[in-house]
Amino acid sequence: MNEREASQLFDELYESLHPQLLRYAAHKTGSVALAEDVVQEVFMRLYRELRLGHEIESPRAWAFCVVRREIGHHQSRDGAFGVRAPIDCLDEAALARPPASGVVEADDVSRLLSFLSPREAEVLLLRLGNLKYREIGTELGISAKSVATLLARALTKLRAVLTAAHGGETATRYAETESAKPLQR
Amino acid sequence: MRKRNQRNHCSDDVLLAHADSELPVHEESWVATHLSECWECRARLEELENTAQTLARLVAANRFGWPDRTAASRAAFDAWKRGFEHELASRQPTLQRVHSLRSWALSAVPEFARMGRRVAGSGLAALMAFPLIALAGLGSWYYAGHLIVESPDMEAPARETVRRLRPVPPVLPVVPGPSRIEPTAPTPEMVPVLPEVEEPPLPDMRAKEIEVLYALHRVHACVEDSIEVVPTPAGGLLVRGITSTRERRAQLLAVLEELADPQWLETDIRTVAEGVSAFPQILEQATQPEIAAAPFGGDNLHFREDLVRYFAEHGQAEATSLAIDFANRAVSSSDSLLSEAWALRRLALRFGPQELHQLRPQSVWLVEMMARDHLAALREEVTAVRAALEPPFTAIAGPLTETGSAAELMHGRQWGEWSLEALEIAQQIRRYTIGLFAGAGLPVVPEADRLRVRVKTPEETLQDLRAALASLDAGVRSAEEGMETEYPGRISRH
Repeated sequence: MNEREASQLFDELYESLHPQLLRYAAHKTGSVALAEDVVQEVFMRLYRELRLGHEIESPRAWAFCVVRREIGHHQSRDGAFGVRAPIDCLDEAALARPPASGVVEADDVSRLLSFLSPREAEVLLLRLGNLKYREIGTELGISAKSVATLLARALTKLRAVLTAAHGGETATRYAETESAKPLQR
Repeated sequence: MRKRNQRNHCSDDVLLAHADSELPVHEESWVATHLSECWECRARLEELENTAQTLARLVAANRFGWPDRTAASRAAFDAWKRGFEHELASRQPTLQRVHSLRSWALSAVPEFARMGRRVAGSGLAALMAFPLIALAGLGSWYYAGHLIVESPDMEAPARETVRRLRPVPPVLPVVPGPSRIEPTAPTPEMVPVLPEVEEPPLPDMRAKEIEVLYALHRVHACVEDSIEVVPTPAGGLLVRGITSTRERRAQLLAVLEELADPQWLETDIRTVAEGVSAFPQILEQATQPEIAAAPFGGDNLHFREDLVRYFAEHGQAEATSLAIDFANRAVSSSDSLLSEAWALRRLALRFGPQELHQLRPQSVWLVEMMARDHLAALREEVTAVRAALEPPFTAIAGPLTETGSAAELMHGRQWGEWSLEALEIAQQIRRYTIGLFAGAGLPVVPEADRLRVRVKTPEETLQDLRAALASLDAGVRSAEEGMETEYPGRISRH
């Protein structure tokens, strides 16, 4: 792939893929800064691979795969990963502070994900990155049908949590009130 | 391909795959047709979609600093890209040089061979030169490869560029906390914005329990093995019991693995060899132990000659062995009748009518499916047994007198109530059968004066057996009718 083709592909890809990869990596690691580094490295590698003539069928799936592996590497290398703390130990003061750019806020998605099993959370995060079931299955080593089952189970659990959390209000109403809050970032 | 006669409604994963357009073509058409007809599945699909949309909205609410962050990253990436392209371009001549070296090496081989032949006057020298040339070619290949792809210089500038261009966030006081190992159930302190959320209440665990039971039921674990599902103190489920062989245990574990999440399901299934003594209570509940059926053993020879005569009269060769098969068949049928009746009774005890009202419709349906399966198995077995046993019995002992109990039976009985009666009848059948055909003793009845007991004659026992089979048959049919009225509209499995 020559420079022109690669640039064109990246123009299309970067805008849509970067936020999704960042979200996935941030939820997995708990730190936006690290997620940013990882995602940037992945894009650079993708560019290099394409320029040196390697065939990549689905850049999106490839990128998610590499992000997962990189996060695995990081997590085993840097043992003291204290930046993940903000999700696990939320104190009033931390929540009252205006959201800063380096920390994953104690947002509802992280809290909701803690209700799910690790597999279900993983499948859900990957699905939020618009991967197909088959790609998610290849990634995790399960069949597409298992992916569907895990997703359905995750959604059922989340529905129960959302309705329980709002004392019987439907999940839709909860989401509407949430999204109406002004974004402070 | 999903077997259509197993479930007539779409499961959640099929519905979700349909919503995501991920179903294979042959399933898609069936699901689309079914959805156009079935309200319940449509409602469930809508539930799932609503939840997914809510989740999507929540996810979209946190944009992680988009679009600024993405723009900054893009700028950094472009800077790196320029550097990369520059490096690539500057190494281009070397690349060409190396390429030419490689091609030169390749083309030089026959040249060297010819030279070698001329020099040494034989092909052997060429042969010896060959590996040297090949090595040279390989070496250049290897060298060239490393030069371009694996060069470490290409990596370092990129990282540096990224670090330089990324905006440095302010240093925040980070409170070190527990490392994130597993998602734990949230406590009120951890969830300040959402109101206090506990683990979803009992029905959900029951729903999982019923799923597990159903999965085991589909491989006939409720009938063939002694398995029970109990809740653990931690809030999960434990499947424990005893199976006959290791292969059977592996099969059960595979089924459970497919279904369940290791977090809330534990298993403790042993083979008989491994620890029968550990679970005496299961053995008590389980089907009666197999009595080694010795056909026509003991002193009960009354029917043997009759049966042999019957088979001989009907022109069957090997009448004796047929008679023995007949006896074996009777005993083994009574065993399977009893195990199905036990399974039904266990189900009824576990899920009484009040319990069923508390469960989700999905779980109620699974329980009903299991009950239906047991009822159907009972019916099939009873019908088959009667069809096999009646002709000889009628020939020997005359037609069965209608006791009139069939007329007394209420139509459409509830299967739960009937299960106790079914179990008693099945136990009676077994007692009669092994009494008549396996050399165990015949049942006793008290005399009219209630002071003495006498042993029933074989003829009486035979009549009782036939009557018991008839009443079980009628009972099964009425229970199935009852099920039809209670859960109308569900198409049965058979």
